[in-house]
Amino acid sequence: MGLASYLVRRLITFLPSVLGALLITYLIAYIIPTDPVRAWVGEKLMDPSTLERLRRDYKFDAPWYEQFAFLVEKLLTGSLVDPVRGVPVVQQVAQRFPVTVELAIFGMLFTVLIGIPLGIAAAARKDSAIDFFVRIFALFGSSMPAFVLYYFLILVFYVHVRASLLAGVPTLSPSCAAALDNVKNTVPLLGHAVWAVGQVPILGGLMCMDTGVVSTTVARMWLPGLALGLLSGGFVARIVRNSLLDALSSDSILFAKARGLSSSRVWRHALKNAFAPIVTILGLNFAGLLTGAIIAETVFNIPGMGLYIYQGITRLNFPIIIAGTFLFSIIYIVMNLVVDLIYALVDPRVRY
Amino acid sequence: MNPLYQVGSWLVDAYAKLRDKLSPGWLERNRSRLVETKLSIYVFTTSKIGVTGLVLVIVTLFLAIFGPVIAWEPYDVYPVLLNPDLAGKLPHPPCLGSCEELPAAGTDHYGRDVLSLVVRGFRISLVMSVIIVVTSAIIGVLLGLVSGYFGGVVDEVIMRFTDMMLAFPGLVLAIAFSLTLRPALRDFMMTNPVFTHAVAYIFALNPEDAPNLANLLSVFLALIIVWWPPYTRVVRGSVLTVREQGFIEAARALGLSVRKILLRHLLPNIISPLLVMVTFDFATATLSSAALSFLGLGPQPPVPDLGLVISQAGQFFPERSWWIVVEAGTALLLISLGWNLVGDALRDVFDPRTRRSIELRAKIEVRP
Repeated sequence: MGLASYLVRRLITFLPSVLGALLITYLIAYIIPTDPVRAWVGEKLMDPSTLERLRRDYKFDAPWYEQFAFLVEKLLTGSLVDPVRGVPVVQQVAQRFPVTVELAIFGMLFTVLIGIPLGIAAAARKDSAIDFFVRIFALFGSSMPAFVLYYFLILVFYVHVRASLLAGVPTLSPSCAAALDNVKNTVPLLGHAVWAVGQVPILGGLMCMDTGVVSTTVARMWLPGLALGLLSGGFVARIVRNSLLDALSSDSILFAKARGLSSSRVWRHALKNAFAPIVTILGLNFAGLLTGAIIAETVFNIPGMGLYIYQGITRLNFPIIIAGTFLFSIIYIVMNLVVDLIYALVDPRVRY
Repeated sequence: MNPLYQVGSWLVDAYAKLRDKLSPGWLERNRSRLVETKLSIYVFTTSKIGVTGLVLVIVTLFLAIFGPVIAWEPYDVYPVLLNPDLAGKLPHPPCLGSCEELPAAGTDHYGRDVLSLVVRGFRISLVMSVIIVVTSAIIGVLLGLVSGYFGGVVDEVIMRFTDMMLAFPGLVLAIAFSLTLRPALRDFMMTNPVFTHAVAYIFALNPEDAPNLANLLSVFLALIIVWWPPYTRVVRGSVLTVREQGFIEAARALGLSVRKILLRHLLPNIISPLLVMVTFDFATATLSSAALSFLGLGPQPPVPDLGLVISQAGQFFPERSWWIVVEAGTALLLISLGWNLVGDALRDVFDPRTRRSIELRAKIEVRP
């Protein structure tokens, strides 16, 4: 009961938050005192009749609220067309978002692989050399200009050791895509979920056991993933260390020790209690990777959502800006919800 | 005794003497606070991390203040235009002792000495981060104080607005704002030569670069707009707990004005976590403004902004520009590392959980 009413409450606030985010972004873009249509067409192709047609099509002659309502309606029905490329925005997002998800998965994987073992080691040997190392590592991670680290890694692992790819993004083989479509059409609800997950090439490749796609994707994505992991791994390690130390010094652990539990059992209890802050940080980190890896996408030349919305903003491409904000605000809200739900799963003290 | 502590303690004493001269009796009334400050300084100077950070910060400040004077080359003259022989060789890698007319630290693709550019870059980088953080801290702290102290409708309005600003991805919002603000700022600077000269002086740039100055200012304002909400959050939270304590009630009963209660009695009690936050934010703001320049939203060439210098080098990377990335990147790393190290040490000094043991250790060692 508690959980159900909590979910309903969250759903009620969901729509106003997303609409509010859309409205603010739209207004920011709207007050830019340049003519968006001119920015779309470019100086070379300037032709009065094209300008006139675009202006009419995107309702630039109507007041701002009608324009906004038009954009939102088109967005929700999936028929918003990108005026620069002339293709539906939904189609572009469907191509680019899986790539960003892939990058985020690799980034997350390295963050967890670096952060959690280092954090546990630092907590187990507090004030030792490893603890000091973790502290310095975290400080370097948050002081390093991201693009400098990316260039450095490219220099080492692409130029000197040919251990990575830097161009193109592998896509699913036609047979695998067909198999996924088949699942979507035959299995009612679960099939759609499987299909959606399979759109991310690495996950789809794993499902179809397509080793070619998986190995090229790993070769393409491991380096950006490692870079993102190096930047945030130290910070995660510090959070893991601090929350573990907090948990280890709590009364319940003292009691467990007094009862004579073996040290591995004591650690298991402490890990479980320390989980909540770690999940929060990892969840926010993942949401950040899904929405904000613009610089990584620029340097590593990955055609994902970050670059797409960046180009959208710099060219005042309203359809892209609105669609991107819509996706990003949904990601943030859903991620926060997932984090809250995981809290309840791992920590029996949490009630709704 | 360590010399760093002696310098700090001397500074505190000098300040106390000055205050005592201005208002006699000040020294006596604030004796316990002075002892406390000196103790904190002592603990800070015993931390290796803190001292390393302090050295880096002092180097940064020195280069930021004197860098534009030290720099041995003007930033807005292109050697490649003056000397056509250079054209095929640029950007030129570092050459130690083997080439006469070219700088030892390498050049960029205009033939300018990279090291000279980097030395100038410190000024821009530091001015950006300090003004962004200080301005947004002031805005955030004031809003947080008001919101936490008054509660009710005021609180509700301020906090809903703050939450809304927090919910956006910061970088995306900053990109949008910097583009929005740019044209208006450019017009403003064209019509206000005095203002343009003042800004140019602060950044040590040529006032004729007005469009570039407008770009710098738009990055400024954009980052300030996205930077203040966390401060409001933190301050409001601390105010809520401090507000209920006896001394605030006493201050109210004595009939002190709201301004005095907020600034003289509430603020000093919540200042230490803020200080830590500001120090860390100097580092983050340095990196964020460099990131915006890297994406091409900040100033355009020839401005010696570190992020821009690296972004320009990117098109020749790696064989023909690795030294530019290394030199400008190291500069950025050192600036933000310095602030981060200082912040990390300060957090230990102020953290109530480690506070007691550190105090005890310090008192045993400090006693003459």
